[in-house]
Amino acid sequence: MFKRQLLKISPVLIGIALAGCASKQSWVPELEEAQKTYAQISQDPIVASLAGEELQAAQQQLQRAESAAAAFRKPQSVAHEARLATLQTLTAQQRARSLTANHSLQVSLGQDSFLSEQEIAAATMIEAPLDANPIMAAAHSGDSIQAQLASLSQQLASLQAQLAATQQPAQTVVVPAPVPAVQQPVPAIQQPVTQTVAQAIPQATSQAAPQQLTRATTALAAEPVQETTIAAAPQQATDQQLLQPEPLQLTPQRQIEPVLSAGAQIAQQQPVYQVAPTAQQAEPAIGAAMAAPATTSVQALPGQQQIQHQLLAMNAKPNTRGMSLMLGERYFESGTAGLMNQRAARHLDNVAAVLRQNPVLTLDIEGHTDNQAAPENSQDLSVNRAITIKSALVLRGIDANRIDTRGFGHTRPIADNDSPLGRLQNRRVELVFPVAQSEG
Amino acid sequence: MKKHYSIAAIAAAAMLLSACATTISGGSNTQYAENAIRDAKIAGAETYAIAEYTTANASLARAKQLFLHNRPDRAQKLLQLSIAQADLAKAISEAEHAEMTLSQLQNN
Repeated sequence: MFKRQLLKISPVLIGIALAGCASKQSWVPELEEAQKTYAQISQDPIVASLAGEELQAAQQQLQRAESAAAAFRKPQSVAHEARLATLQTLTAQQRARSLTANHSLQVSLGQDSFLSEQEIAAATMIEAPLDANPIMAAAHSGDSIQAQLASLSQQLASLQAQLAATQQPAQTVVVPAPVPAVQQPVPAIQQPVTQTVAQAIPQATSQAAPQQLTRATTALAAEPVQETTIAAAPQQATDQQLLQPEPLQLTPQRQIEPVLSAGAQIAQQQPVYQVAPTAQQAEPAIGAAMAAPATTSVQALPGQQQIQHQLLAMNAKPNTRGMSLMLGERYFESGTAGLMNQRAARHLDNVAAVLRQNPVLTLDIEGHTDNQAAPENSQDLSVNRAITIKSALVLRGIDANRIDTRGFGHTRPIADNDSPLGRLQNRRVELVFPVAQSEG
Repeated sequence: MKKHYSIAAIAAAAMLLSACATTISGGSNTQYAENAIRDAKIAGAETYAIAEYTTANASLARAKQLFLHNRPDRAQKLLQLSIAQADLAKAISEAEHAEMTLSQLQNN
């Protein structure tokens, strides 16, 4: 009788025991916390790229904790392993934070970053299209430290000029009489990049209002180096600047010089206006805007230099063959020529945009690999990757005849193939734009 | 009989060696934890990550006590925690220090 009852009860007891064991795993709050922490932090691309090793160690530790829980080890043991996993995950996060801050610090100080461009690129993926603001995009994309520095310098110069223009006390320009030179057309300034100059001057001359002309020049001087910004400025803005009855403000010469310094000599040879002593600094700028025969810095802008600026905004680098834009391996599926569309789309859209805007521009696409695979495989992979990029550009409406593809396998390394980082750098596709280097 | 003695002697020697090995392992980990805490201190953990730094020190001190009380397993776990806490303290300190320097640079 007793035996029968025991037999009936035993499955229930076994069931309760099993349920207890199974639920024991979820009763370790430290493990749950570790899993949550890891899941949250590992999704951060900055941590994943900059503190990959630490994150991997944390993952292994978390796996140990989960294994301990699955093996029904003591809760204290599981909790210990889980605590270690949490600490390692947090360490990875802090490590990435530290690297990011140190990188920013070094860039701010004008020093070379200790991070590789691949690490920076992986950590600073942005989704916004580059076309919206190439300068800002260049600053944030992180593909090139030099490009970042260049664009930041441009922004700084622009902001300084604007600040100087707003802080400068109102100064009156003494204009004795209308000058015939003003009424002459200004044929030299008709290039697209200096459209603002070309638009501003005829309006001022037609109204025979030299002061307004001065104001227009001053407005231009406030945007010294950013030719692309000037080109993008709508004409309405210039019109408003011309019509506003604000007191005249002159920007000191050192801020005007970057834009119109080449016209200074001509201005001195043919002084059009007599400027009050306090405002004499601005004379070269006025002269340049007025007389403005073709000057090297202004004239060279529209063609080659404009393309160069567009390419620089995409973090292309000048070299002996022209401007070279590097696509790292992260744009491809590992070991194949398959394109990671989401990652590459931003770059390819912008490359296509530049090619569309400049119909004469051609492109050489060169594939490269590291030396880990057999030479014939490397060669095939490099060619296929170059063709993949070409296909992506053709799909974006670029004439295939404008694009040449080549694969070099592992024959042209740019870094040491003995280190993982070097091999990573060597696995690349270069987009070479045969753009002549301008002297400016 | 002699054979038994020799076996016992070998076993005793093996046990002694294994005990020494355990001690060396514990000592090595202790040293490792001390180094990690020192590195954290150098990175400024006393200023930037005082909680983590204090916990790491406390774990190390407790581990040393447990070694003295013949509880090496628990002591080893505490040493592991101490090392992890010290590493975290160091990472936090480095990040805080870098961010503070950057902030000062930008404000100036």
